Amino acid sequence: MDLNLKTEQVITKSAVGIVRLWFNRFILWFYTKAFTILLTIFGSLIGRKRMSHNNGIGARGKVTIVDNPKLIPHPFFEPNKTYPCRIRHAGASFNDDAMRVVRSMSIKFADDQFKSPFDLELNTGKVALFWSVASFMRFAKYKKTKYGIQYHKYYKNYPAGVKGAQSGMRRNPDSFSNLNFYSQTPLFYIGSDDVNRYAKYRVVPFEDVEETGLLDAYDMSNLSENQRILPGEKRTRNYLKEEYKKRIASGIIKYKLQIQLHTAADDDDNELFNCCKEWEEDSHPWLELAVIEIEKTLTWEESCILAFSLGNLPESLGVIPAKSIYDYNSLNYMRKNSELARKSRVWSFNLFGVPSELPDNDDRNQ
Amino acid sequence: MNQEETPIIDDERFKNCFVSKNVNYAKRKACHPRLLSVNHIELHKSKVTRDPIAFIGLWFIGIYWKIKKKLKSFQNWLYPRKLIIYGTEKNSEIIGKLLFGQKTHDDVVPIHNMHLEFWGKTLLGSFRRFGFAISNENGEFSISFDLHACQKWYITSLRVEIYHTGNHIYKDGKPLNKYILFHTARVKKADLIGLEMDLGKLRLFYWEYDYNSPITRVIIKDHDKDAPEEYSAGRLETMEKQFIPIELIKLKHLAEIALIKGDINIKKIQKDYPLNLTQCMELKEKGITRSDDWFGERFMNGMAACDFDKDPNDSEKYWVHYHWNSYDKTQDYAMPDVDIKFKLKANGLPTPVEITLTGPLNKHELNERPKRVFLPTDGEKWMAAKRLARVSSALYTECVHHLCITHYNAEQFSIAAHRNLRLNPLTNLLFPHLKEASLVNHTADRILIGNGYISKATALTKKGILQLALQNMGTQDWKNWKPIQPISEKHTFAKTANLFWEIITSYVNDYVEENRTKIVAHWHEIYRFSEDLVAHSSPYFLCNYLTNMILDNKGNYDANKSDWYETSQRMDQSIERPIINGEKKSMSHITITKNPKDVKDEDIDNLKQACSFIMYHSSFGHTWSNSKQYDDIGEVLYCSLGLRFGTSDEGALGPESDMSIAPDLTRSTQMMWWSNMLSKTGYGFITKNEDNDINPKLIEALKAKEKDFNALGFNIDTIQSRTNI
Repeated sequence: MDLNLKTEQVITKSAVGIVRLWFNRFILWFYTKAFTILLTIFGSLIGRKRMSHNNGIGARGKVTIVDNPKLIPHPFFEPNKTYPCRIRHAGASFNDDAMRVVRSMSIKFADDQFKSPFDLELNTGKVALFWSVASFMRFAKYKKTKYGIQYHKYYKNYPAGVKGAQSGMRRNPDSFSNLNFYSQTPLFYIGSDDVNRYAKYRVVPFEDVEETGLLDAYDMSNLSENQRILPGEKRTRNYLKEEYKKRIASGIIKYKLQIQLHTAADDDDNELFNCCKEWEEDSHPWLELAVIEIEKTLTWEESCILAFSLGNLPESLGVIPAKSIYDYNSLNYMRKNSELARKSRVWSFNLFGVPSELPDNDDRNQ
Repeated sequence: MNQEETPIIDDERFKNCFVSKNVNYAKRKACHPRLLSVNHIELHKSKVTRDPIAFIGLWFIGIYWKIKKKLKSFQNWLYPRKLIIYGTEKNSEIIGKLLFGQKTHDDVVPIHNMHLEFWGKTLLGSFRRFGFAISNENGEFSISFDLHACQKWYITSLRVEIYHTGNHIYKDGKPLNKYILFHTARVKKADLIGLEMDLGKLRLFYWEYDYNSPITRVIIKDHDKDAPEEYSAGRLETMEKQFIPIELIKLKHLAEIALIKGDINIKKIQKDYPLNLTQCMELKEKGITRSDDWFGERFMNGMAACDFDKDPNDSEKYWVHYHWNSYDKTQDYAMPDVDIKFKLKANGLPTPVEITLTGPLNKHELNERPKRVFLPTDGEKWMAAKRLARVSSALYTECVHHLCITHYNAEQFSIAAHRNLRLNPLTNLLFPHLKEASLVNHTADRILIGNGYISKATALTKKGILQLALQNMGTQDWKNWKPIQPISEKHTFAKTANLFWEIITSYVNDYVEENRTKIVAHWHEIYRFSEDLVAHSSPYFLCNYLTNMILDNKGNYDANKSDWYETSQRMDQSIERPIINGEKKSMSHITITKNPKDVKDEDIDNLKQACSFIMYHSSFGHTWSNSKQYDDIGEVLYCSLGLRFGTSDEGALGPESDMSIAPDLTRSTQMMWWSNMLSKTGYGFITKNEDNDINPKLIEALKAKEKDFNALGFNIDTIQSRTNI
């Protein structure tokens, strides 16, 4: 075959393109609905557990919006306004605090089990392990967990997944309270000036303390799929939750909620929405948004029935529309539209009781 | 005729015996048996099909393959592979790394500059091209493509295709890249989800060195399945057509030998094969080919084309040696060490004046090494000594000049070149002359070396052949090499060789200068080519005798001591050998410079020399030792590759009429089969340019000197472009 190289671009702008666009949206809707139904049946009703982040601890407190002149005004973020809040820290996978996992912090601007004007879901790591519904589906397909090892094929195929894992996983942090959590995916921020903007959020400790649990050279050289506890590990399965309870018992835990903003433009690169890429801090500095003060932990039962949703967002701060399962914004679309699974889980807990607390036993790497 | 004045080669009576015929491409007849594959050529009985039922079956299989081929052609015509890239934006990438296949040896050796294409196939069978890339110096590649374009519902399958890079054909005098598909890596459509998808390390079983072989060879487990290259279609077809008539003769003899031993004899075997040069001449004058003059002429200008060293003790004489003592041997054949002294006659041709044979020549002295000196005045013993010398020379020529210097040299250059040269314009220069060598050598492993013909028809065992090959490959180097210089006006081999050398060096020089910028731009490929060539070349070898005779006490070449030693056509002993892992290597570095900016004139000169060296050997060098086989070993009683001890007390010194000395009937017909097959079949000649891959400038340069070649009795149309037979 003669491959003397010529290239041309085939441009498709036609009625066919429009049909394709709606078809892709339909596929996204279909995937979301199908996934939600399957999760509802097998996860929420039969398994009676969350899809992920099962190992966690809830707490309550308050959120106070700071008066930051650099922040674009928004009616929801009225300076000095205080909201009651509930948060939940968790490990993204496995039920063992000493394993190498991504940690999370979910925030609800309400002291309620579900209803809220504003929910945020954040994880450790500046970048995520997956970036769209399509990649999430692959992530789910290639999970194949065995003895604390999972996603072998996913990491083998997708360097972005490895990068996300290395960025997000934490090994034996001292406390949930000194970790940095990121929303990773952008959301709308249409302020009082009606200008389209996008926002990313992060939560950092109120005091300037070093983040613990970052992967060291050993863990970085270790394959990402190996999430097992270290040999000779003495920390218990619940050490992190116990630490958090003790810390709150001795005083309020404070965090800073910060925001990055980007003004939307016609020539914005699609990569702007890619949660596997950070926004440069030079051009998108982190701005102080609020102070979170946590006063009391919730009981195990209260933690279990606590549910967060990106559906609980004002429209002007809500999810950016997605066009297909490959769209970077499709992840948030799926998160927003899978409430049935959350509600079913809570309903099954209310009906049949919550799962037992995790015992401090030697059944590790589970 | 006064033989002092007129060489036999110029004698009008024998003129038609010397007419060199071009190889004819035979026309296949319907009734001819079929050879399914070159891999089915066997020393004893090749796998040809003859019976009617097999014929019918083969006919159907042939029809099936023809239909399949036609359907493929039809599909290619209906859906030609267009080179446009489908998709509007590059939002995804397929990445990976190409490595050579052998983890134990090549674990981190990348395959650089390999061309890759990302294609998808549609429901209807057409193809869409989504992207392409070239692997970098570390073997890493990244193919950017439009995710949405390859996720269309009608795209059924996706694949990354990896191509042999560096082959070409000539069209209108210009080289056109010819990419040949080497490997396909399937990509699951569902796995393409945006960002990067890593195919991981793709280990290609691509021109892998065979570390189990003491000499530089490529691994081929199955010729038809995993060889790194393929014979051109024309070569396969031609070979099969040319080979069948020869095979049929051999099969007939083998059948007769098995059934009616008493009736068949060497004479009858000989008669069934075409008349060769010596037989033709004997018909004109009996005994002419057994004469001293003919002996000398053939040693100088025949297949043997010896390296004549001056006698250190008598500068008027020349000597030629064939020493076998240090190689592993059986006691089935006489294989004495042979030393021949020549003197030049007035007409410039050599004549033998003394032959020394050291070693057992009959069954009674198998454990001894008697030394016998024969002179022209010794009558029949002199005739017998000459015969033993001819046989020794023939075996040496086959094993060393033919097998090692042309075949194995071509293969070691071929492996290094194919592993490393891809974007460099040097591919256009070298590849047409290096191709197919690995394939023919693989066939030779099975039926000639190893447990093949040589170990059955001579005293050399498989081990002995390898020892011989290893030592001789340890004397091969391109640096400062040039063909043997004429020792007289009648040294036509030397003159022809130098004429060809002049053409090749001039052609290579012009080519390199014309493409110098590009060659230097891709110097990294040449650096790696040189590294592979040196690292995998055989250990340097110099026999004890020469070590004492031409080197000083410190092991350096002493030109004063070695004024008798013929330095042309041999390794330059004065240059330092590269040392790899503590071992001196035979091949010199072409360059030690990685960076194009640091390339010096010396590197370019080295490159020209190395290219000229291998192009000379793979084309003219091989043609000479190959095509003249039938002339010099096409008559069993005149010259075979081995002589037995015989049943008489005289042993191997008995007359030609003693059939117990000559090879047995099976070996005789096999030898005739060999020499016919190798000399009278062929495909891939420079001037014919059957595959359109020879630079027209080389053809022009050859044709410009056609008259000069003709004057030397050499037909340029017989010069093969590569070593493939």
